[in-house]
Amino acid sequence: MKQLEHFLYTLKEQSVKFFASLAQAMVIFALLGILILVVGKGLEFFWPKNVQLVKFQQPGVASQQLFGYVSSERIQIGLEGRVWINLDSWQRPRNQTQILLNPKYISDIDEPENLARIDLNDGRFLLAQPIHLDIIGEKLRLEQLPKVMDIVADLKEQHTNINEGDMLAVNTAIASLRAKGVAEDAAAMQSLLERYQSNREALSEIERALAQYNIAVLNAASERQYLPLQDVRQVFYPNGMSLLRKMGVFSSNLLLFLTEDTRDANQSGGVFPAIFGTVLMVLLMAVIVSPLGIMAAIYLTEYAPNNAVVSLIRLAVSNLAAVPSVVYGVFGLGFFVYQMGGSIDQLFYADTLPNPTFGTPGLLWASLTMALLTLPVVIVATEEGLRRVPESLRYSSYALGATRYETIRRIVLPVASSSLLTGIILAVARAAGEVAPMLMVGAVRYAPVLPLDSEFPYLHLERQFMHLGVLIYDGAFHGQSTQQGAGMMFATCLLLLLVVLILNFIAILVRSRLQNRYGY
Amino acid sequence: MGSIKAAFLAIVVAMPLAIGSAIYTAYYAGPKLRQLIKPYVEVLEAIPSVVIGFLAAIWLLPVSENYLLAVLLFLFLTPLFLLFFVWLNESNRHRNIYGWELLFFTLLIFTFMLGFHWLQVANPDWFRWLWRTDTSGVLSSELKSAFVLAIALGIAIIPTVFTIAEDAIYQVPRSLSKASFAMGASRTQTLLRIVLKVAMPGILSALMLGFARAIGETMIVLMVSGNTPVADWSLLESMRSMTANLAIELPEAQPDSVHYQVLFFIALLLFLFTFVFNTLAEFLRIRLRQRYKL
Repeated sequence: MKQLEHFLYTLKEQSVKFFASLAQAMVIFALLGILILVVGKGLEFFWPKNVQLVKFQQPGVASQQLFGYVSSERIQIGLEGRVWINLDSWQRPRNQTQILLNPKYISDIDEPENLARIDLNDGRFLLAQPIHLDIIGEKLRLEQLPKVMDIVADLKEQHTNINEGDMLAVNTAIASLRAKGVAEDAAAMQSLLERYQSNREALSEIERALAQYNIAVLNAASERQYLPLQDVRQVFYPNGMSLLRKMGVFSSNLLLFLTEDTRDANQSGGVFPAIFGTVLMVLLMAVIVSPLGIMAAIYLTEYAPNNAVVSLIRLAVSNLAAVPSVVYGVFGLGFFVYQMGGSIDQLFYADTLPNPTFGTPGLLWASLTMALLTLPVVIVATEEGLRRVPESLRYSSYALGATRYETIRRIVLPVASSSLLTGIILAVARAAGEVAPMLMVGAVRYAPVLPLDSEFPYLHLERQFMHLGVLIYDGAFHGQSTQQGAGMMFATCLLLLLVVLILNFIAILVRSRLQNRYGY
Repeated sequence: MGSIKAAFLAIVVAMPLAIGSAIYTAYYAGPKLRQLIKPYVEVLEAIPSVVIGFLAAIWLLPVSENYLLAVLLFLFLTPLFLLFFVWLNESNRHRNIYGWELLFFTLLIFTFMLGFHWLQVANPDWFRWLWRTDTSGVLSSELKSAFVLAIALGIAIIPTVFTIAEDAIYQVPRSLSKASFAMGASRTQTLLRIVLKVAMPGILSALMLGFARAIGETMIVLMVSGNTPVADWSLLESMRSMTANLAIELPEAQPDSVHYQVLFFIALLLFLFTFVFNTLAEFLRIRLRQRYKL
């Protein structure tokens, strides 16, 4: 009896600790799980996976062979076990790149070494067995591929050089002459047209030459197909590759992802425009928000009297921080885009008016909205830093005869400088991760041009741009039809997460350095 | 209405987890462990919600039925784990291994997951009859989407609730708990009757802020819930929250039309809602600070 009582007592004692530490472990586990999942799935996208040859026979249909990525069976409640095969996207509509098979129909799964994955320049890929190269009617061995690819790259470069160099100049010259009303048979016009003709011929010659560089491949049904080498980005054999070669393909995929334009409706290619748009928007936002936030914080800590109005301001700042981000988006759309943008259009761009210039969502309004959203972050972090500057420093400065302004400028701000930096970094991290307002004030799923280019005025504030977060959101709705698309979205997630976490980490480091230096 | 349902689901998940871990970090963990855990959770507050929403929609939703069963089974087995925990704690009470609870639970969760996975591979039939089909079954598959939404939103607001609640518990003056120990109270008695009572306004304000954050959360709800505009109090129905409604409809609304004005009214409602919650929470925190002169 006594033992039971003691046991119950211990149970009561320990259970609180039990539940508390269980909760703690679960929180750590869940958050760690997110990190591991995103990092793992994101990196997996770049890694060359083994390709399988699947032989199967469905009832009533002749036996078939397919090349594809076989994904492990998912146990689906209420269904039989299933096997997904992800096929290549060449010459195949996107909604047919996945096949669902019942495992009992599959007779054989093999990983032949000579099976290659051929990545095309437009973002699609082909799984096939290359046989030989077909160059100007001659059959060459596959070992020559790197050399031939170099020749093809040379030809393509010549093509672009003519197309974007001389051809562009000639075209603009002709257009400007025509606009001036010069007759078609004038001497200047004639010479330009001649140059145009000769350029055209040179171009078509190169195109003809390029068309003679082909690679012959066998598809899964053992049919011979020819693929023009000018469309091919890289060819590799994932099944027989050494680890080092796989690393090579991995890094080339990574480079492509970071530096190239998106392709195939955001399903493959790179995310460079989205990175660029995010960075540009965030930089503009930092330029707008940092003077505002820092000055507001200086006023609140150094100058503001301790009265009702100031505490009202503080309450407003802390409320501003808690307002849902989508409300900022609504505000940005209603006030910045329609009100301010509309008035700017009426004042300066009246001649194009039915088509709005600044009266539509765009880069400027997005960064202004974000600046508003991150203002409280900057104010709070800066204020905290300023308040941590020891009073003794201020008093010694006053004692030396410095005015209030001089004290703030020469003593307080330098000491608190890293907390100013912390505030801005945190604001940047917050802005990079916010998506909801971006959906309304300027980010789009595909923007044909970057907001920064060589045309005057170089920075086009009214243009729409691409954003990493919006890309992910869009991918979650439209990109799940292919494995490729989902993998790409995971990689984008990883990128976004890395950027945000690294920025936060830097902020924490800067803050702790400040704490160590001044010992408070 | 969808907003309130979603926020309620999120709070159900986040409240025990966040407050439990706040208690652990502030009260049980040593200073070194606390310095490790706190920045960790705070950094994770910065995870963009679109990433969480994406993971929930693409990864968790297809496998949710397994995890739902795993969670249910885990809850079911909890008393067993509790006994095991108490036994371990009693037998090791003089050894005082640093942070051993966390190690214990990490191992436990891993073993549990492995065991569950094994069970599933070995007997997939066991789980099938649980799901409601035309004829029989206990669980309806509508539970899945509610579960995923609750988990995703809950994870998003856990760091918010955790940070504030942890601060509130940690700021309870040492003198109070020391006095309680001196009177012969045990750790649990001190925690339940002294520390938590003093920190209650802070914890409440943390919960309110978490609730406000869940209501204002856009991306997760937009990506995970079905977004069908059905007004139904059933927690399992697909829902459409105010924020998701804004994000979907506003870019297409004609300026100055009635639709546009209604959407602005929704934004105003959201703003007022968070404003009221936030002011209340701030007020509670100030009162706590004044009462104990922290």
